[in-house]
Amino acid sequence: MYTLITKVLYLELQGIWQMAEETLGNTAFGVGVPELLILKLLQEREMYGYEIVQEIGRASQGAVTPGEGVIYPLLHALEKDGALKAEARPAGGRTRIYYCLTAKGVRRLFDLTDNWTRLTRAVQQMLRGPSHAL
Amino acid sequence: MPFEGLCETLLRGGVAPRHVRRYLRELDDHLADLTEAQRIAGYDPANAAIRAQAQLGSEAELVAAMLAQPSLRTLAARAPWLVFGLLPPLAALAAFFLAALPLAIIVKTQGMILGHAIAAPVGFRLFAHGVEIASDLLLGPLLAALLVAAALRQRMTGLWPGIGVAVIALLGMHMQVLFPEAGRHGGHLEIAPALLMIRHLDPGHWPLLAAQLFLTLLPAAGLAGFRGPG
Repeated sequence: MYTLITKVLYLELQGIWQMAEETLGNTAFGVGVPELLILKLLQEREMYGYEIVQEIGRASQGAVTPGEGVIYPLLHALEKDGALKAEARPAGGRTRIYYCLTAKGVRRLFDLTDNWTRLTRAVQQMLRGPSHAL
Repeated sequence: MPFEGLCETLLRGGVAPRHVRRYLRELDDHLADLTEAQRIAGYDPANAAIRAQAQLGSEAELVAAMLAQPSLRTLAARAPWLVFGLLPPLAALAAFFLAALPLAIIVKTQGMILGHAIAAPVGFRLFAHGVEIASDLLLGPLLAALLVAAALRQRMTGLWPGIGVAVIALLGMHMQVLFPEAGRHGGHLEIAPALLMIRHLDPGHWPLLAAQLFLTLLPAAGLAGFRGPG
């Protein structure tokens, strides 16, 4: 119990708790991580939904396996927010909807990457124990 | 049609129709890609289809993912009081103002105001009368029909669109054009809710008002036969 309180106190003092909430939307690991990965992948080249899902699985070596169909609402929301641009284009006998990063999306990627890096660093520090951190 | 149930659930959940259409199209393509990948991996067509569907996600998961994005919902779903409560009277007012404005401009710029009289030529008087009748009979009913069409497209319940139609009907925006014959004084061009005009409304306008009310309420009949999500 004492250890838990100490850890929470440490997180509060460092402002990490607040940062985690802002970055991840409280319990939004399922939202924040796919968003970060999608933006990162689209920074390299434009892709359509199926390609994005395959690439995430490949790049993370299977560690991140998003539900395949549920990626589209996130893509739509990012587009609506101006972070992505969607364009229908013929490919392989079908008309695919390709997504690419906008300038706003690049800024968002930098912010998310920065927040994620700080957060993971902080969590790793915490996991090493309060004696290391304090 | 694949994902037909998904389509209805999303529309009833307030997701914008254009996002629903695109989502279904993307899911369809994705499913085809997954099925093809399973076939290449050596599964027979039936098994490949089942495995692909499982990989894509269950209907509940696909619906939940879309409903979790509030920005993809329509304005009518997010703020029905605005779309069906506040906008209809403002739109009716704007529509009547735009219909009356050209008449007012012509009267003003063509020198038809002589002292205390509007000296309009016969042709213009007839034209103005036509605009008056057309505005009264068409604008309100047209707005009501647009509201109902938008509501049906988004699978909305009868409550909010019903309120919108009722607001338009009760407001009863009305145009009254009185251009006197040559040599007579007076004349005016007025737009206002019928209730505010009752005192000085020309009796000849009563049948027009009754027809306007009937036509405005008519689209609501379309809502009566529609069963929304409750």
